Amino acid sequence: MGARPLLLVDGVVKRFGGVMALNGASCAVTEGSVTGLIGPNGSGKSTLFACIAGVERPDEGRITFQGERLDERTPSEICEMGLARTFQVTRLFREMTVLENLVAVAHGRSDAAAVRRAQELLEMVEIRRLEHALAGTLSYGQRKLVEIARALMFAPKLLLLDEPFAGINPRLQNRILGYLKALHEGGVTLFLIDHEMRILLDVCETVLAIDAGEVIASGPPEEIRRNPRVLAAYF
Amino acid sequence: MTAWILGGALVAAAAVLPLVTASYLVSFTIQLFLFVVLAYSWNVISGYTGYTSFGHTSFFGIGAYGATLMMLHWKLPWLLACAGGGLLAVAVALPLGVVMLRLRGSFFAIGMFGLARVFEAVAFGWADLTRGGTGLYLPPAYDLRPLYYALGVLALGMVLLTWRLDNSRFGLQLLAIREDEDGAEALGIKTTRLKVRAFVLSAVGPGVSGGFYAVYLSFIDPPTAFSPATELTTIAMVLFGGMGTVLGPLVGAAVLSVLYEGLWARFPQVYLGAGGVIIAAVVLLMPRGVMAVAMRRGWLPHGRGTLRRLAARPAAPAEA
Ligand SMILES: Nc1ncnc2c1ncn2[C@@H]1O[C@H](COP(=O)(O)OP(=O)(O)OP(=O)(O)O)[C@@H](O)[C@H]1O
Ligand SMILES: [Mg+2]
Repeated sequence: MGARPLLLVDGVVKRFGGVMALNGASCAVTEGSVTGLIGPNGSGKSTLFACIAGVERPDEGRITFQGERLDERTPSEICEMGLARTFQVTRLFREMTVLENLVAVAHGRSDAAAVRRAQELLEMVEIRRLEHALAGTLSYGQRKLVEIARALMFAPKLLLLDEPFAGINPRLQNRILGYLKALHEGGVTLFLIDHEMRILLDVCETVLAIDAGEVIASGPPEEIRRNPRVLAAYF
Repeated sequence: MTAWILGGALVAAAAVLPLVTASYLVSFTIQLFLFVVLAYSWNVISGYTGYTSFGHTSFFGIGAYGATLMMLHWKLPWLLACAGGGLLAVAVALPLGVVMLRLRGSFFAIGMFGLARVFEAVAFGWADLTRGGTGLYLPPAYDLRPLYYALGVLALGMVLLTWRLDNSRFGLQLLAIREDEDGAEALGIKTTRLKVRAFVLSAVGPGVSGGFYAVYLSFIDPPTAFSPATELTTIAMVLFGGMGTVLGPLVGAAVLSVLYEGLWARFPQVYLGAGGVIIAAVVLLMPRGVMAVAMRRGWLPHGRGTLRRLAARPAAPAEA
């Protein structure tokens, strides 16, 4: 294929006290791909995302994005480089409106431009009508949509999605799937954590499997599904 | 629109007041202006950013001493000296903010209270400069009108600044810090820089008005400069009016000033206690202040109107 890796994770170790959340995790995400990340609960998936996004500092190893080190930068610098993320447990500012949630994270643009961009994104995920609703009053599924729109405020090249399909009904899952496919066609690289094989089989070119803080397999989803190590760890 | 007309009328009334009335009302309004400045300043760091400070009198006292000393030693005109006091407060607030804002919640609040006590002790102890507990005396100001207008302009400035803040992304980002600082940081909001900026901004008003207060009293000593009562009254005003709102501090300062004045005149022996009871009742019954209640009931529009207006604007045609 010859596509170059956009993101490279090399031997990342992250300890929380005595817990080894990441134990030398290594992987690559190809530019323009949709890459999935699976693994049992507590295997270090969210921690890997936190390290990539600069929220946690790896104890060892390195992370590069477009050839530049990420593991020494602040989250804000990483956002400006074109890397955005959503949270597993939605993290909206509940006392602000939906629109304000998006505008608050905008970088650089004028307020007017930020508002316009926010509205376009809300339009894209079909919740423009909620723009003045307080985020704290939204349903769980609506919050997931706002999080995706907010992450797109940075016009990211790489979007990290931590379980975007968890806890919502299949109809909304399919809607989100549609948005993600559209983003992918628009050139955004997607790296997503999920437990649902149905969805991973549908959208991902590559799936990585992580167990006990180590990436134990990577390949096309059908292959990963049949990989004995993955089966042992996961299914 | 009505708000602007009402505001304009209020400003006009305040502007003619000293031309038509006795000195009692002028003195009262000077103190009201003073608390308006303090309340709005405290609102920036504690209301919007969520860092509750119990030690903002530090900046008030530093401004008071700074301005007084500049008048006594450098013979600066009072207005310039008060600006200098504000500058001094900012110069102290910047490094202090960088250090103190590492603390969160009650640690920050108590730390700030401790700092005010430290500054007070320094003012007592550094007698060569401050003459310790004896205090410093200034030539009395016979005409209070220049002071009245200077404080009035400062108070108005704080109201307008807060209105701007409330309608800007900076304000939203401060609110984001208040609500979920780690989340804001993870989303690329430059939390450290923003909260230090808010902290420094919140030191300007106390710094400048500290100087004005010294001019008003023509005297300053450590308990006056770093008074916990001033601090608590300021906090009560913002709590009463509504933290993190544009009009809350104004309403709080006005209502509690009148209330305190009435209590002080009629029941001097219970006035502090009665004030405390009223504050406790208000905080229990409407913990987010009167403005929040008014907004919830729909008597007042919610804040951040500019964003709403921007959002209502039709999209510019065919813009890249
Ligand atoms: N901030 C933290 N402090 C302490 N321990 C943590 C922290 N974050 C994660 N851990 C621990 O690290 C391990 C990996 O957690 P992580 O959240 O990355 O798992 P996960 O793969 O995302 O799991 P899930 O599928 O349940 O979301 C767990 O044992 C967890 O308890
Ligand atoms: Mg997780």
